[in-house]
Amino acid sequence: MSLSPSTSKMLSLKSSDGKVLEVEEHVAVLCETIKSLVEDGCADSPIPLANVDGATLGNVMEWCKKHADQKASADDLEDWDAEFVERDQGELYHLIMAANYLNIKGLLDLICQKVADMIKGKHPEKIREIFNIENDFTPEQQEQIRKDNSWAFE
Amino acid sequence: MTHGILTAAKKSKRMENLPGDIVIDILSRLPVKSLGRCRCVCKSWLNSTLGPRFTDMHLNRALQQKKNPSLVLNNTAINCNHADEFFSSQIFLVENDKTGNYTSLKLNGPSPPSFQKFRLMGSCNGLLCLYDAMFKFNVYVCNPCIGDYIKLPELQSSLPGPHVVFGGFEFDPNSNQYKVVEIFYYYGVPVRSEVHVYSPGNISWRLLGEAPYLIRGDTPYLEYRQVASKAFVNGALHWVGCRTARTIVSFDLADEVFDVFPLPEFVLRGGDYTLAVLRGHLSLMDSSFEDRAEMWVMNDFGVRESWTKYFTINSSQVEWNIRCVQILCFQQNGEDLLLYNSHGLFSYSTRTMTLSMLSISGLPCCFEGVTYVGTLISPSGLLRIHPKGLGKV
Repeated sequence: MSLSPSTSKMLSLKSSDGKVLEVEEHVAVLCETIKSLVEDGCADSPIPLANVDGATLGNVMEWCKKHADQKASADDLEDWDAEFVERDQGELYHLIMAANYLNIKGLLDLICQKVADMIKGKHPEKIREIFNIENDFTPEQQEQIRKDNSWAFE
Repeated sequence: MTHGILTAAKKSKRMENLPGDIVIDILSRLPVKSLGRCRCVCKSWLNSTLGPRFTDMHLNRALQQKKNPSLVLNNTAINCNHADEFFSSQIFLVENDKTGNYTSLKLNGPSPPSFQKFRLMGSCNGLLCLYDAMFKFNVYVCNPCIGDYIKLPELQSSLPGPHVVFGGFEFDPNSNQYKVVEIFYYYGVPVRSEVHVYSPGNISWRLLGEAPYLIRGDTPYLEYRQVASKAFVNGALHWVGCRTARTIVSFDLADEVFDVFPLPEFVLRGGDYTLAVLRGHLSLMDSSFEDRAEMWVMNDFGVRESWTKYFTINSSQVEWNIRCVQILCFQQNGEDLLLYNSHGLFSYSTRTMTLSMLSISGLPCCFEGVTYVGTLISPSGLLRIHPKGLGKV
């Protein structure tokens, strides 16, 4: 579907905590989930998004708005994205869950890559600390697995 | 009460609450070394990153990210100061971060025993094919990132020496197998040749018979000379015989048949020609001049008239004599080419037509290089699993 910004109508999106956001349709349809609803004529007003809170929805739509802007160059978007992902872990977590639920591949890719970059090069102890992950290996298992992957610690 | 809510809120953002497929998506974006560390984080991360499905997913992701290529450099310098380390081949992994800076890392994984003077025959999907520069029948396939390697069965050639061997290593998607190809030539009277193919998992090399075309290589001064194919395009390995050669010979990896086409008309002199692949096109670097090197691209595959000069690097543009340049790949921005010669690694801007040397600390003074993508593919795993049982890559 092609919708030019000038003729784009507004859609109402309702977050899990009851906040209603007015978004231009050509921006909102970057979410495949919303696009299907619009195409099938099932876009109630407001569209209830039970799995996305208001703050996260605002962030997601900010990203969609930038990426729906056809005047933005690839370099411009890259710089903008780099700033967009400078957030704390909680926000990143909610953005991943929202991008997954709303089916926005570009945003999901961006945040997954950001999290991968946070992991890159770090030692297991540091990764556990950052992401609050429990070490569920027994000492014997731990020793064996470090041995099997000794090439990663040189 | 408040404390309880805070704990719940804190808990809800934990990475371990992410769905398994998203965790796998995130992990598949990591370089191999980081993945090895992630396996030690917890059981679920370990289990997510083991097995051929994850290996294939990681490979496919790495191949998509070709915009940011890595390199493998092999130290070819002879160390005269240390007799016991006279031959000291060493693999260096050169990576490019997002800001365009290069870093070099010497890989210390287990190296093949008594095999210090090896050369690169090919690089494919994270695997390197190495051959012994002294003893031609020793061939290895290794993954330098995870330090795993296999020695191929000894190749039995009945040809008298000396030999020139045209070799290559690539993945054949038709048979889902990696293939090592070695074409032995004996330039006596009469000229004789033998074509051998090996896939990891097979018991021995297969002898395909004589090569139907003569590749005119130099007669080696020593017992043995190897010409590794640097150009895998259209499903075929390509070689140009050096100096006196007038043809490009190809070997189709799926059908295992040869083809031959003449070198472009501009190649009139005896000299150094090396093949490469640029944006999917067969390319040729002509280093036969005293004062310059010319890069040519064959725009329509197999059409001799479609060879087009892409650019020239003049010695006057640089402070040294530009000879024997080899093309590696385009860099991240798509307009700068990576090249190397005996001096080091260079970046050539196709926009400003200028050449600059890349300063990377820790590089060997003399090396050969290939583009490389780090993967988890285990050479010894290729032996264990029947090739047909591998996931599609």
